[in-house]
Amino acid sequence: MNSWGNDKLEGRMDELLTSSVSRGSEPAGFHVKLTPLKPSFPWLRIAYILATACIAGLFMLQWLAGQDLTSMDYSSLFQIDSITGIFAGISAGKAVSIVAVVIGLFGSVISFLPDRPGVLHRML
Amino acid sequence: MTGNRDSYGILVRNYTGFVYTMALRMTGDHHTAEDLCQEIFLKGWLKIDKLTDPSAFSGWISTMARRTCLNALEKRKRKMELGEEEAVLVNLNPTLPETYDPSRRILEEAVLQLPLQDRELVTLCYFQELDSSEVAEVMGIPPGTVRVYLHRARKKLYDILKGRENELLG
Repeated sequence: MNSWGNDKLEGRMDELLTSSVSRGSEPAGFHVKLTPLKPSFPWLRIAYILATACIAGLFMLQWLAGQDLTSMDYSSLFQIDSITGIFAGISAGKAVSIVAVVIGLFGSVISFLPDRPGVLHRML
Repeated sequence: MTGNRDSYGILVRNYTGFVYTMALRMTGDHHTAEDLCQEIFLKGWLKIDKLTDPSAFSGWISTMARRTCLNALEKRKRKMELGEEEAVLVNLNPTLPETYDPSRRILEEAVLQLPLQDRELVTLCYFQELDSSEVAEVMGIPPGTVRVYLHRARKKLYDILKGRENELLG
């Protein structure tokens, strides 16, 4: 112990410092503030998947209906002549459908991602 | 420890007070400390597989808590620079839990008046029960420097407490 003038005060300081050491002497009356749990709606997940499947299915059926599958040249189907050519055949309706499918897929993925604060909720 | 994430739940329950106290001492704000606990434990949860020696958990979680608190303090500083002083200044007042006994409250208030580095040292050396080599690792300074800095921090703490001598010794 180093003395800086008042041994009593220094002793009391050390006493207070060391008495706050062991676990159990920690402050009470606090709680870890946890982010509220993400509401769990199983039906929402099902709705996401169904909506995505329906829209994607409809989109696919529409596309297939316009194709002559027996005489289709499959090698040219996946051939890209130019970047703008990829989007040339897409109508406004199709673009909206694509956006809907992307949002649906995104929602499905998000709803299945692990809820990180939920992990801590279960631990505490 | 590796792969055994169930044991992390036990550690979280055992170390909540430990982490909270460190956050409280570093930030000086009870509510901020409560908020930071979640962040610290979540970071720990994501990185628990990297901890190979279970006996090093105290130092490991202290390092994580220290970094998280320093980030929080940096954000608070930036807010102040951006002119959001009003919201921040309220939080700068040390708000200690009501459950502290008067002597403990005096000690905590004195610790909060120390500069950040001294606060960290006192917290790690006394409350967190880390030895000087562990503290050195957490703070990224040589063990010898820890002892020198701790001596200075204790002297500063003593000088602060001298002003409230009667309350402490009476």
